Amino acid sequence: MYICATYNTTYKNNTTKEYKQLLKEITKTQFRRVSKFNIMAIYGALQCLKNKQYDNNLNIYTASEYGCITDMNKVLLQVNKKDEIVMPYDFLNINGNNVGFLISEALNTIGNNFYVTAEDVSFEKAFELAYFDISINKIDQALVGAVDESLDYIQDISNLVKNSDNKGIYDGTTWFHLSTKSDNALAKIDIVETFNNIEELNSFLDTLQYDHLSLNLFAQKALNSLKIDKHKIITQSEDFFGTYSAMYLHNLLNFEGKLLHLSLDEKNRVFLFHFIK
Amino acid sequence: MKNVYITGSSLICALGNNKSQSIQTAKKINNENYRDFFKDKHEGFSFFKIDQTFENQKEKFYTILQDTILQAVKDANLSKDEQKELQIFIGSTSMSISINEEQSDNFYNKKSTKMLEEVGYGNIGTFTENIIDSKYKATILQTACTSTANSIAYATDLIQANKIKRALIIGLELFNKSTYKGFQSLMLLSKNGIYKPFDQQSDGVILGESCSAVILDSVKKDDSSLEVLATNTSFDNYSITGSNPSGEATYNSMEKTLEKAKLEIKDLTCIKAHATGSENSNLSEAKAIDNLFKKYNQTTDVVILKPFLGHTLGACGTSETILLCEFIKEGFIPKTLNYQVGYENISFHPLLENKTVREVTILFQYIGFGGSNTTLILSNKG
Repeated sequence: MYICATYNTTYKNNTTKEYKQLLKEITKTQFRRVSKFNIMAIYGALQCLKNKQYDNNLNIYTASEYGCITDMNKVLLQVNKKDEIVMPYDFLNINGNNVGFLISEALNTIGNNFYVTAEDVSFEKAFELAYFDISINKIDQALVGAVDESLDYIQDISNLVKNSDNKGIYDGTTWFHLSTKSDNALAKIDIVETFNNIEELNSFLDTLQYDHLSLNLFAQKALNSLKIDKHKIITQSEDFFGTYSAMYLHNLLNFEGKLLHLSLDEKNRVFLFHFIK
Repeated sequence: MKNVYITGSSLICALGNNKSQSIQTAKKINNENYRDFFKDKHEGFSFFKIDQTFENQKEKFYTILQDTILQAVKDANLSKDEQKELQIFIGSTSMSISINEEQSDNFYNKKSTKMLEEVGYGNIGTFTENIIDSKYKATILQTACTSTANSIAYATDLIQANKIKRALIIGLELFNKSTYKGFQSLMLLSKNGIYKPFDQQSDGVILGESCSAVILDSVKKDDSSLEVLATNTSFDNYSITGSNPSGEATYNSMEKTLEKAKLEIKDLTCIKAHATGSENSNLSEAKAIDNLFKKYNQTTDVVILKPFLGHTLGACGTSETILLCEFIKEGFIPKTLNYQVGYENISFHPLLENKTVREVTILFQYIGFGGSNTTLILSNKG
């Protein structure tokens, strides 16, 4: 299995209008009354597959930790007013149920789509699901994305988001095109594995070779418990968004050789990704 | 490839606070007493509510979720160590938005300094993990009304591939203003309070609260355990809210699942239709079933469950599966409540009399906004 294309972008906190303007530059499809979250997802997905060949029955897996937070908040204000009507598209914009449909509309695909969330490892779960579906020959291609909005306008954010290490929370949209075909591939996906604790991971790492390594924030905190070569850790972007580890994985793919990414969650459960480039 | 069985389940819904209460209530409902049965459980005539009282939305959400999990684990008779091996999947369209609705109201009315109670829904997974001490990170899937059906399909694949031993799939959908007002603005809600899907006189959907769970395992619990014979998902990008009038994606999903299970229509005890009550969705699905029957020149009974539960949206994959299993344990499949006049050009009508059964093979069809179709075939004939 291979990674054939990737795309990542972060912005401090763009408005929906600004994303729509960016989207206009790459597609003629009109997206009216679509949330900021959905526009960010469509934009990243289209950029990832721009000028690339893809099957029209590829599955789409969209991961997010915070979801459609900006537009949900608008609706929360409306619903508590007695006679306020929630417009159909506002209702459809409050959660992740429809993001896959909109991306498939933009890409003209007919594969299945899923919205996945699992706190700090939402992207990892989505990638694992796509990898599994391809590995059991259910599908040949998948588009896996990580999309999260800035939470700048939400008060008391430090009590709601505990993993940001006080970094500013950005908008981020990161996408990977996975395929069974090696044509023009960026990297081979060698291993996708999960471990229930660091001890299990360390035993596995004993025999695993890698040239470059990236760690999510929980893995960085557990650095001294990990049996890794610290000199191989790459310097990561200072930007942060909910599913930032997708961006870390994207950045890792800029290096050559055997590449390892480790994501831990709050309970030190491990997601391991090993690529050959 | 390993076999996969339903070895435990739980159901909290407008019918009752556990499976036993729910099935006993369901057995008493008929066309004559339908409105009376639900009159105290209506929210504006279009929402069947769970009959429990709580101080606030947060207490309601997590108490019902915890009860559902504990009931399912007890039903499956799992030891503490076995519970740790449960991979958790949670499906819902609205998740815990009701908690944030209340918190937001308190914030803007200056009753609280917190703007939101939660950001994102991953904490629902962590809450569930902690109750059963699961070794695994919970996965939360949203694919509209197929959320839990897709979770069952995904967990089945993982068990069959020997990636996991067993799974806990939770479907939850509790009353929230966003969904209610959203369906209202889409003009999908029934006004007369009589839910009658697949009926020409249907005036729309009645939503329903439900929290339900199934446990899937590669080891059969007893002879009554239903086996998941096959699953399939298919997609139709026709419309974000409507179904393709051709019913093509639904047809394809049912046909493909039968093919995977190596079964014919005549082998099925019945098809449990999605049958939402909205005209567009009803017609599309009825056409799909009708075309399937015509193509193979075979028929089976068509069963509709939403009049009992309301449309439990993302949770219907578990809630309707469990309710039908409970009917089967009682020895029958229920006739269609409130059905009067079928559609023109559709040659079948849903089940009109209770059907006595013991061993069954059932095709469950689920359809979601955004074009998602999920089909499951379950059987206890093995």
